[in-house]
Amino acid sequence: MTARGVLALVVFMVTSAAAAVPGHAATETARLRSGAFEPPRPAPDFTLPAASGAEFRLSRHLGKVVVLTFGYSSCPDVCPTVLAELAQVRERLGAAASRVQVVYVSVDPERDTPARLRGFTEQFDRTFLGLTASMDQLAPVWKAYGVSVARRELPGSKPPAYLVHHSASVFLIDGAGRLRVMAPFGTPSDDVLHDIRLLLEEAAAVAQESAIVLAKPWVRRAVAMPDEKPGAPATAGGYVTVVNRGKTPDALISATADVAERVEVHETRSMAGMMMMQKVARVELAPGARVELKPGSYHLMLIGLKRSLTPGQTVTLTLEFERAGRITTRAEVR
Amino acid sequence: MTRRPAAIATGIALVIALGALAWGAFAPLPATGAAVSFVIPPGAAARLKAGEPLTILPSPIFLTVGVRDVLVITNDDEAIHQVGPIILGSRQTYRIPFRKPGRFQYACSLHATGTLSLVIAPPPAAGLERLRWRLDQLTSRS
Repeated sequence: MTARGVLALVVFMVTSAAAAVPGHAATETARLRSGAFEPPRPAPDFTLPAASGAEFRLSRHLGKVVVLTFGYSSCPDVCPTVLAELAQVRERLGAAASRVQVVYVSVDPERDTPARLRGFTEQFDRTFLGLTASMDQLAPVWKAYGVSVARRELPGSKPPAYLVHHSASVFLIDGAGRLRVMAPFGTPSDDVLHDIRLLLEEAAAVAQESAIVLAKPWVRRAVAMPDEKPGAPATAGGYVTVVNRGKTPDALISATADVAERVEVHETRSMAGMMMMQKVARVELAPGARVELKPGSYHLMLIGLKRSLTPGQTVTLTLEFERAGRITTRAEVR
Repeated sequence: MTRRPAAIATGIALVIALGALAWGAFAPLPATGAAVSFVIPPGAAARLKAGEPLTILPSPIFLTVGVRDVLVITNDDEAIHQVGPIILGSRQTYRIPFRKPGRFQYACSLHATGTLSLVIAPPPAAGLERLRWRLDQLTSRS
C-alpha cells in the first residue's frame, strides 16, 4: 500500500470513529441517569420521630433535595456502603450540599433506638438524619416506597442474632416534593451525584421564577426585661408584606431568624374584647393576594432571642413557602 | 496503461473495505444503547385479580451495556403496580439506563417465580466480538 493509501485509511478510520460518537450524548446528560419516574408524582409523605428527638415531616423539606434511603445500624455490608457513598456525594457537592438532606429510615425498629441509629449515621456524615420508630409507624413508610423488609435469623448464633434483608435503593425527592428517582443498589455514585445536581439546578430555576415578593420587612426593638436573662429578651415581633404575584396559590408555612431560637407565625385576634395571640400553621396566599404581617394582625413571633435588638440593627428573616421554598430578607430593627 | 486505473480502483476498494472492517471492530459503542420497553396493559390488575396468567415481563430480562441497556417500564393500567422495587402509578413510566454489567434480583409479585432478575452483559469487546455484533445489527435491521 502506498503512503497515500495508508493516509486515506487512517483518515477514513478517524472520521468514521468520530461519526460513531453519538450526537444524542448532549441530551443524555440533561436527563436523569439513575432510574427516573416520568411524569413525576408527589413523594408519599410521612411523619416520623427523628433520632434527634424532633419530628421529621417529609413535606416540610420543600426547596431541598431529599435523598431517602432505608437500612439499619447492625447492617454488616450494604448500608455502610450506601451511606459511605452518599457521604462522598455530599462532599463532592461542596457548598450545594446545604440544600441536600440525606434521610435514613430504619428497617429494624427492634434494635435501632434513636441513639444507636444516630451514632451509626454520624459515622458517615453528621448531617444525615436517622429515623426510627415503632414497627406500626415504619411499616407504612416501607410499603409506600416499595421497600421489602424480611428478617432472617442467623442459625447457631449465640446470643441469637438476625439480619434484615431489605431493598437498599436510593430515592431522590426534588425541591417540589416529587419522587423523581429510584436508584437501585449498585447504581454508580457518579450517576446519583449527577442526578442530585440536576435536581438542585431545577430547584434553583424554580426559586428564581418564584412569584412571592417580600416587602417592607422590619422587627420591633427588644431589650431584656428585668426578670429575663440580660442580653437575651424572650420575644420580638417581626413584620413583612407578602405578595403572591403568581398564578398559583401558595402558603407561608414557617419562618426562621438568625437572632432567634425559633420563629412562629401568629395571629392577633380579639375574642370578647380580649386580644389573644394564636399560633397559625399556615397563611394562605391566593394568586394576587397581598398579606400584611403587621401589628395587631398576622405577624412573626421571634422566640428565644440571642441578643437585644436595638434600632438600626438588621435581622435576617427566612420565610418558607409551600411552593416557592425559602426566601430570605434583611429586616431593620425599629 | 489500462492496468493502472484498475489497480488504483482495486486499491481504493481495498482501503474502503479495510476501513469499514476496522471501524466495525474498533469504533466505540454509542454512549447509550437502545431501550428495552415493557408495558403493563390496561386492565392488568383486574386480570391478575381474576387469576388470569399474565406475562408482562420476562425473567430474567437480558440487557447489554452500550447495545440494549435502557430498561423502560410503563404502566398503562388504571391501578398502581409494583415491579420489584419500582412502584408505578397509573400512566407512569420508569426509565433506567445501565452503564455497567451486573446482575440484579428483586422480589416481584408480578412474576410467577416471585423474582425479577436483570442480567446486564458487558458491551461487545473491541475486535472480532464488536465486528460480529455490528454485522448482526446490519442483518437484523434488513
